[in-house]
Amino acid sequence: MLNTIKKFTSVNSVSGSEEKLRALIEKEILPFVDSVQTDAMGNLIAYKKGENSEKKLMVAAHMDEIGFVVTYIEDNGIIRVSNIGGIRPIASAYHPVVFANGTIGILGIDANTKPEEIKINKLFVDIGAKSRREAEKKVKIGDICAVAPSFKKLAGGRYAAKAFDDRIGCAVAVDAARNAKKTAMDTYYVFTVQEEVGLRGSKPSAFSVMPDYAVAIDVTTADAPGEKGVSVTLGGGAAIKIKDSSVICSKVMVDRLTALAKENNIKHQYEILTAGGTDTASMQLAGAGSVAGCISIPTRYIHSPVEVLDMADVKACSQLLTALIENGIE
Amino acid sequence: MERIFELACAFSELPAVSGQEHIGMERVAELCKGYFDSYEVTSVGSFIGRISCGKAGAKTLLLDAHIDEIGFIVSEICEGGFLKVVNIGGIDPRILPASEVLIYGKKTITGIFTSKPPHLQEKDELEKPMKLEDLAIDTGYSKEQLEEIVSIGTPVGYRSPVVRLQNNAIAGKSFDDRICAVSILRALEMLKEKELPVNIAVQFSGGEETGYKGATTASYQIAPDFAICLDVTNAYVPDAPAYRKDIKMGGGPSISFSAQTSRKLTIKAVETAKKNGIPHQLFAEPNHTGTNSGAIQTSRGGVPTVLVSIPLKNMHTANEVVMLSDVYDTSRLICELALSLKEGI
Repeated sequence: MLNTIKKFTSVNSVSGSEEKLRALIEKEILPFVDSVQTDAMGNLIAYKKGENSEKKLMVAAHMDEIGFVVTYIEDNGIIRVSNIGGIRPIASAYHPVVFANGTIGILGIDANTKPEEIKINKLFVDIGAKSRREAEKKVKIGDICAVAPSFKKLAGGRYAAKAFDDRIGCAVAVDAARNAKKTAMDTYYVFTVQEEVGLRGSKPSAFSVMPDYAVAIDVTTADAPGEKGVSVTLGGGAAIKIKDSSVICSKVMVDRLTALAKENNIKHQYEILTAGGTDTASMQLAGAGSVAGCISIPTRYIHSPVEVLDMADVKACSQLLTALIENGIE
Repeated sequence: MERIFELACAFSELPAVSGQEHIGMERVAELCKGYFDSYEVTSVGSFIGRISCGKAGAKTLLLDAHIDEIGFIVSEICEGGFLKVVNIGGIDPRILPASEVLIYGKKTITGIFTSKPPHLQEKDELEKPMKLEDLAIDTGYSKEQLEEIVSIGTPVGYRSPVVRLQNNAIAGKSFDDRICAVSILRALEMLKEKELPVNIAVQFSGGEETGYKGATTASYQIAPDFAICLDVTNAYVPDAPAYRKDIKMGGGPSISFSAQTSRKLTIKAVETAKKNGIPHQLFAEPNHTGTNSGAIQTSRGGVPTVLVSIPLKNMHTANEVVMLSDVYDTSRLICELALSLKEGI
């Protein structure tokens, strides 16, 4: 599991440019499924035939992360960027960023900017180029970059990395596919693109799968210091989603996940997220609709270069998903 | 009118907070007994009832009203038997203090939103906007007792028995949009002895207040050829914006002109109303209607949809006011429009 996580966090995968991660995931999950294909948008769909083929389960984790796109290069070689997804400028600033061709830059903020005025248009990337011409040898308008990959072990079984949102979801889905001793219904492990820019990849993929049951695996905000009104705690176990701002989960799925957690002694808690959406929503609304829910991995400092999680929670999420895949809904 | 009042009371009381409509579905099925040839309940919380006209190759008319209501879900069970909640759908927290709610746990219990009496308020406190986070629901139970009944995620709705006002006006909760469900059932009663030119599918859709979810999925399932979307609309009150001036209580159903509806079907609805002497009013909504009409219109290859609205006051409060005569006129319009589809649109 840890190896999978390290692998998945080792590459950039900004919305719309998920190729590198997709190749890693495909290789990792292939031994545990019957077939793997990539759709037109770039979603990776891995299929495992179930004991009962009358019903379909879709498991979704998103491959993409937030990042930056080059909008303009100044005469002095400084690169201006716009955000892809929900960038928190203050959390990303003064970290190294990497482009697809390996070019490294430093994300800076215009000098003398008041803290409350730090918006995306005050950010720039300094790749060391002394002029526009020099910069253009490495980077052109439209190129994508993201904060450089990182993975650090903290105390107490906790880890920090960039883009645990949602590499950890991808790792949990792969881990469950690996550990499941049986597959109750036809199961589609879908690794979606462009979640961070509006749940875009999960919409067509859910329409092509047309699931009866659906579960997303994503991160949720845990009790970071100063965080108010958040009931999810780091180390508190797998978080069973009740709602977020995109979805109200089906009671059938919430009850089923709760029952499976209790039967298997898996530590769990409930999640009500008042901001932010997940692929759960698009799966719920595909075609005539599905019974949809979400298993969330408690995470601190989401959308920063140092998202923190607890490996015990990750294992609990993987066990819960495995139990669902093995036993189905009935 | 009495029949409409009876149905209005029954539908108003349904426990169906958006996303948790399953709690009320058994009762919906009971209320719909005898109206449909077949029915089903979908995974996204909609009730679908079907009536066949018996003609081979007949087209299908969809009648939509949403069955969900705004409300809350429990986010925390606190010491002293208090519940913290988050809102489901658009709620103005200023109307909440000291109001009654029903908590749909293992059993249904009553609660009261906390309030701060004027004696205890600091200077200027009245002027400050109230937030839902500042309120809790008092149940009278102990925390331990409450944990037996309620869990995180338990839905909570307004408690507000229907009352009758003067001139055919009634007040109660969730007339947005249950009163339209009532108008549909009343229309089906009017159609009972008539020869139907089309199949009728009714969707009492869930999840409207949280993003048109039931309509998105149920319309896909039904795949209708045309649709009448029924919702409520804000009637003019003295402090409302001037463009709402023409929507009057008692003026009959409001027919919407918008980019989210079919102009052809809309004009047919207006003509049908005129021809049959049904009181009606017109309203222009340039883009979004804030109703299921957009979700139905864009379902599959597209569905010609008309939006018909019942005028209502105090939307999203525990005392929404509608007039029985407007409901009756809406039923008549649905009935006549359905019959007119013999000639297509």
